[in-house]
Amino acid sequence: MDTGRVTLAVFRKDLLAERRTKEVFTAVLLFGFTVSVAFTFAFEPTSAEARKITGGLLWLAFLFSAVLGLNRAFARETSNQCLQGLRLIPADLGGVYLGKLASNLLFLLLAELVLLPPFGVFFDLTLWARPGWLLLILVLGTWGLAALGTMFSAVSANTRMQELMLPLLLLPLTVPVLIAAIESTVILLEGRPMSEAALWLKLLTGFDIVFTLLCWLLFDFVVQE
Amino acid sequence: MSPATSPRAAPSSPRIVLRRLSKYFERFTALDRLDLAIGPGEFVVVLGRNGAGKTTLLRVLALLQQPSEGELLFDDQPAARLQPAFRRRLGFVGHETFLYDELTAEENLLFHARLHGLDRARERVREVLAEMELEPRAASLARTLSRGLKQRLTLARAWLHQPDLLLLDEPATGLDAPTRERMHAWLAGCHRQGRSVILSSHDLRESLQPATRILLLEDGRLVFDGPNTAGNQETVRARLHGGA
Amino acid sequence: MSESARHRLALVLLAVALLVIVSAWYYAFQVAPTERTMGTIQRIFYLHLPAAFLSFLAFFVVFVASVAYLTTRRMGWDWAAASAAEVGVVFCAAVLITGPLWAKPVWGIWWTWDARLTTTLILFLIYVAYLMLRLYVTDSERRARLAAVVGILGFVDVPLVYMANRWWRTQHPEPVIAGGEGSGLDPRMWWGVLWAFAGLLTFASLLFFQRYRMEAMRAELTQLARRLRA
Repeated sequence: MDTGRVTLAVFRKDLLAERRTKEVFTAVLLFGFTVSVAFTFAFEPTSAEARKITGGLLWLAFLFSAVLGLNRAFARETSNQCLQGLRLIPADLGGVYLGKLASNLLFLLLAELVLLPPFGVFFDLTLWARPGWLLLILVLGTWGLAALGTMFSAVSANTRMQELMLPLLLLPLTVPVLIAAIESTVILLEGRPMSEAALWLKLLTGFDIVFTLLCWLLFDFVVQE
Repeated sequence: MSPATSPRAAPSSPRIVLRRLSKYFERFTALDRLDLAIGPGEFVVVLGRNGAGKTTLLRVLALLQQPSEGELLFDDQPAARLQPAFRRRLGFVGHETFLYDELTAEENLLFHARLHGLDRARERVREVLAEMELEPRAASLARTLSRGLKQRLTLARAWLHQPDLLLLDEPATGLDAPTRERMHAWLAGCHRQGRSVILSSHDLRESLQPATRILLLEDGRLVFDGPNTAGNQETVRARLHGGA
Repeated sequence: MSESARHRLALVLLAVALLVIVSAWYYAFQVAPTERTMGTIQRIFYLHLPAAFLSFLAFFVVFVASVAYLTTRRMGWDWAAASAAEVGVVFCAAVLITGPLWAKPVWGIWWTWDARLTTTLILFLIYVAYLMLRLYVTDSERRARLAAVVGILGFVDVPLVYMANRWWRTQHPEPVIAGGEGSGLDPRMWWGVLWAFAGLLTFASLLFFQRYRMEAMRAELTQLARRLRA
């Protein structure tokens, strides 16, 4: 199937480029780390109240660094007009979106996983009590950010204020992802039963599926001329 | 450099028709009601000064740009209704290289080969690298290649799927004389196999040799359209250098 | 529709709008009874509730126009989307301003993080981003295309934003706000709401129509400028 072939080719290409340059992963990791440190100054890290907000802080750190990473990732396609070159292929470009979504998701997840231990150290958290659930929340949340983020980085690349447009569009539209991811993380960190997070995880899954499908269908319109 | 063709690919170049085709960019008219018919197997050179509309014309033909008004037909089919699969018959070389700087020459070609769904992608890539005499630099990052090599690589990318119609936008720019000659000889070879070639140039030197037809664009309008004879070349040369 | 016809229609809309708004105003302040617990400030509700509903309606129009543009590629749909988005943002701002104005004297706090108000805030941000996107794309065809995509994605997001806020509210309940919007209203108050809604609707239509005319004129101007150059 055309789309599958294109998705796989784009994914492999992004992986290859990232393995060689490590730009996106490094940017996300370093920025996330810096933001986390900044948070330790803003919020008293070891107080009892802080535990309630660290779930929020974690996802804010992920969100801000994701914006940086997504911009960097898409910059590869705009130099030398590579994205226009992709329009020459005998297939529709939805597969390009899916491929880039997959690679962005992978790079963001890897950076987040590396970011977790230092974050846990700063805020004195036991993150690894239920690693399966933690991973699930990370994947579902990051997927939501990446789904709209990949789309909007393509949209922003066509505007005069590229770097501004992506966060401007992404932040309000990913509010459901943020709320759901933060709530689930807080439930996890406070040791409460994960059944309480069922609603949030369902919301996340729904969001991810709906927007991945929608963006896949609409991507062609974004890259046309 | 000589174009090899695998046995199954017998080129059948499309018949192209433009009817009152215009392209606007806000207040600027890039193409102004063009009427043009290009038969299969022609070698057309599009001449004109900078800003005359050559790039826009080629991009419209490559289906990279949608016209604002008018019709574009390939084999009597409106371009808007063509399936994506039709793009298999087109090869485009533009001003931008469409190359990923951080990938090697071979990796760039492999990527495009896979996107096109070519069988035996790796072998095809090696074939084309050999044809374009790029083998020694196959493992070099695209970023490190000289202008001439990048152009050969871009040509290689366009040639991977053996298109029936080759569209090239000022391909000779920035190339030294010997490289230019070899490129034109290669294009002439493609033409002899039955492919259509449409290339643009703002400079008259060697580009006219293998051409069958000359077009001259001025401010988006077609002001000259004729076969490639010495007389016509003179007329066009005078018009280009003399001004209106 | 020619420009002179549009001009006449605009004048008619203006007249109707003035008529309805003035009578709605009169109704809201003279005829409708004063609310028992909240007093006169409650009358702001006649602006607050219809404005909220109208902004939502406007954003729905953006969605429909966006889909219509992508399927038909007629620029008129893009002009409609742009106009509706601006109207929607204006009414959203009205909701966000009247909210605190109402809340402070009545409940002592400027902002209540209830689901509806928070959703309106997010909606405001989404459509401001939409308008900024339009501002930063210079080519009209590209602007129409990109804005349409964002218009569709933005609207699909709205129910998800509302749900997330709603559930978040139930997890973090604030002191229950007595009365609230629309609970146990005197029938005369309902008439006040309807009149206010009618007034705001005609006003919104006028704004929409004027903005649409502007876009149509801008396109005409571009076309004329283009012909002059040739």
